[in-house]
Amino acid sequence: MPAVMGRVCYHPCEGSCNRAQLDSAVGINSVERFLGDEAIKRGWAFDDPAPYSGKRVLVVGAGPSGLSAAYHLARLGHAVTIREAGPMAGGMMRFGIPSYRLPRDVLDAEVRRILDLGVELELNARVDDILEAMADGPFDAAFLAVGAHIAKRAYIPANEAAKILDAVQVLRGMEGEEKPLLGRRVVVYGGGNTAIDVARTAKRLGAEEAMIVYRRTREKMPAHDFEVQEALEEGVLIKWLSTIKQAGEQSITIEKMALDEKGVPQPTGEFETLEADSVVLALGQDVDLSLLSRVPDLEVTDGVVKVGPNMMTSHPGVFAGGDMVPAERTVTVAIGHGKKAARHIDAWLRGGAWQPGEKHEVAEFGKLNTWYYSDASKTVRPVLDMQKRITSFDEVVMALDEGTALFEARRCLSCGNCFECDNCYGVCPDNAVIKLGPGKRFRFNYDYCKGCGVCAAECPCGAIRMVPEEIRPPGRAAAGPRIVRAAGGRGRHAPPGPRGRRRLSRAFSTIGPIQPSEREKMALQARRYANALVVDVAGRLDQDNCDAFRADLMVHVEQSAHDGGSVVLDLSGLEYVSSAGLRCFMLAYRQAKAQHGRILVAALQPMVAEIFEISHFNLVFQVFPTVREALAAASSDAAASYDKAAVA
Amino acid sequence: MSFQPVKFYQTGTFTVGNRLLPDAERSVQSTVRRHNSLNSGHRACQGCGEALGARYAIDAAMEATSGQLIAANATGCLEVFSTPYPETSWQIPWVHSLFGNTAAVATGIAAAMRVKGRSEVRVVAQGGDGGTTDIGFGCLSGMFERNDDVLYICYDNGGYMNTGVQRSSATPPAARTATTMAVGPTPGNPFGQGKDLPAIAMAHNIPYVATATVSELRDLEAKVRRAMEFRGARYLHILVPCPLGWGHDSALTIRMARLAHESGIFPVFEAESGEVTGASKIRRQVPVEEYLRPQKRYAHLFSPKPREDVIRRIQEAADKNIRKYGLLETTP
Repeated sequence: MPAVMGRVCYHPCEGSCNRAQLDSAVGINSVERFLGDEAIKRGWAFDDPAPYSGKRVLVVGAGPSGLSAAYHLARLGHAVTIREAGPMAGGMMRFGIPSYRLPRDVLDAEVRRILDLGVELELNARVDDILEAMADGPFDAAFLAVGAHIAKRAYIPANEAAKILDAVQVLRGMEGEEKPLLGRRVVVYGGGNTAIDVARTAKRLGAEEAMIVYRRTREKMPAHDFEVQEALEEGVLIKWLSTIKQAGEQSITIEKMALDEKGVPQPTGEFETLEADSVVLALGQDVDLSLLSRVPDLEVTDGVVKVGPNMMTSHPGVFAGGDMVPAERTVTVAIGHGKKAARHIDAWLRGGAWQPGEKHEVAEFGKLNTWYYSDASKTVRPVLDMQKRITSFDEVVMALDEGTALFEARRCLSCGNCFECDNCYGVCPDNAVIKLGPGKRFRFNYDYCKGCGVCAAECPCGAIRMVPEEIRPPGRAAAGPRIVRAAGGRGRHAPPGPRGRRRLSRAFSTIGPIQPSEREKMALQARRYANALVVDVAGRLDQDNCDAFRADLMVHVEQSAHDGGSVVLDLSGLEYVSSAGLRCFMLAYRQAKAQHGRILVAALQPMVAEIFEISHFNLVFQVFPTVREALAAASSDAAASYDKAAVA
Repeated sequence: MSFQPVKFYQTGTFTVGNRLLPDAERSVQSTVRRHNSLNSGHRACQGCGEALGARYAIDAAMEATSGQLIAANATGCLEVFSTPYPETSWQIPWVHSLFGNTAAVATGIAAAMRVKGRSEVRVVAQGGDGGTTDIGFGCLSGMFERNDDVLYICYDNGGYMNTGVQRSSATPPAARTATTMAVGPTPGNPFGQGKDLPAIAMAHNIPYVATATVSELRDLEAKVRRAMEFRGARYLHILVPCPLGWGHDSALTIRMARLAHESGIFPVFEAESGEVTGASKIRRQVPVEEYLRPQKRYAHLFSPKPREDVIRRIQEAADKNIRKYGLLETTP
């Protein structure tokens, strides 16, 4: 419901937006509204839902939570029926939020789009007993989102002529033909968003004076600050630190309060009389839980239904969300409950449990390189002029147009998410970043990455991380193609800074076996079979150990590969060979040839085989899949000796 | 300026690429068809600014000349790390000259091309600040004076880095090198008269002179493109931070170049026929201290006791650059 949420959501996302530390938060809410309005204007429809699951779900209540759950359940392939007690869909979005904040045609369009998915909506269909309704359906699961529509009352001594109404009554009355009669001077009692809504509504209905009486201070007021601000701009008066003591026909008596050291308001005994034609109580709302009265073992605390982390009540198959469960009572939370419940209901119906995906690391402001972002301050949404605001129910905050919405969307810093700015690809001094094309982002070529960290430092959105390279324990035999794993850490980049660098450079100096302890281990193992010598070559062979290797190998070659004798190199343990290592092989080959002997290689790992192919060493050397086959090629005596040793 | 930033698109044109820009407006470095003239596998240090600057400049020149390019390269870091015999990282026709005669060798190549009637083949000469401001200065001045059709690119890292960080005439004042140790009453390189090579090049009234840094890729590419529109001697001076010689973290290479520009230490401008035609403005001005502090070659300015007098002198030089080239945005 982007067109609805783009208007009524309190956008906590903007509160944590990193751009606020640069200039001002991205106007996520206004962009959402633009997209929602655009969807309505252009008649965008959802993709077809998933194939029918064969399951039926009952949703009780067509408020934000119920509609949201219905939408998600329908998309997941379930048959959904919504039963709404009222005459129209929308719940508190229609009967609680004034039309100057949410025009009804917008709400209708968004509801229509959900119903077009195939969701069935039954109006004026109050559910009195949920278990009976589920059995009658029959329904496989139910999602309850009946909201909180019963106004809380406070005892105020009043004479018979005093006109005392409640906020739910007033706001609901706005949807009917007969608008509520509030008189010229209206007092609203309470400090929440509903109190503000009522006061602003009263002003628009023609009240000369709309005053909010609240027992604490502005800082303690639960209403959102921008709503308080808008109300004050429209001339709504607010009486802080006051409670209503008595209500008469034309006036009320209030008592002044004072905050004690704990911040709790205490009566002062000081009284004041205000003129008032009506008093509207906006003191919060309770949930009508009568439909649950026959459900056994239901946990109800403080008038709301307790649900588990999967939004299910203690009765299997009955889920609940929105204002009737313990949570903040906003449309935002209600819609979130609907989505969350739908996922759990879907999993429950399919006999599983829904596991939310793992949370990403938080992309904090410090990880960004904000140099690369253009300066651009937030687009301010136009506001209706004051005269129109207080005389009509026209929408107060207006929309962005296409140009400004695009501008606003492009203010997004894309924190932690690569948006393919090509910076890493451009700034690598070693061309070690591979560009994979639009939408595919980048890969690091660890064969060439030197780990300088320039890419990570210059990434605008902090999407690259430097990870110290894994250090191989000395003397450990290789298993699998180590090069990928060993180099794998090199470019995955730890945060820049002295510490990161120190660790990194240490990591660097240990690529491959260069530690002395390890170098000694290059002593070659050899086994003799008739006139052939099998030499085991294991580990990594590169610049750092090739000299030792060559010296050892040459001794064997000189002693064995002469006058028809052969040396078979068993490479089954060799995981990588660099050009320096290949050079050793070549020198050994020449030596053997000069002595009329032979060198054969056997049992290459895939990576070494590939290196042999690339370097055309497979054309120089005779390569055999196994040592046995190499020995057979060397001489029949050698093969026979090998077989005998194997039997033994 | 030949470089005009495009309208606001989330990151403007500050990043290498910008997926929202039409292809023609993207930088050469953002495309997969870039030539990678100096390819992977070279032996430059971690985070080498010169390797980066050379690829930026030569790729842009390759793009501007449709691949018809020959480079002459002075001895120096760039030559040493890119071409250990018998291997090379260069993917263009490339000639190694002596330390001091690159400009002359390039002149010869240009003359040969002229004789052969191959006017479409363009010639680039490149070297470090040692090969340019010290050893090759005579040949370079001759090339300017004869107005030979060569683009000379100097990669300035402020010293002889591959031989162990010795001082050159481009080493900035107060910087510690192996030959200007941080000892005595005036530690580091003395405050001399300086050797402003772009200004000397401009004094030859050659068609085009420009300075650039590796932190402003699009500006650098635009200048190479512009240089290739001229015939005759052209000079491009690129500041390339050196993690080894400057003693900063290898990840900060581009940041150092950016701070050199943003502090006014290194003015980025272009000039045609001896007259300055435009300067790259400072976007977020910083005091020189912010540029000096991450570099170990200036560590003696901050400890054991801060040398505010020296820092002030460096700041004064930066302020002079800002005044001289009008580096700050003036409010109308």
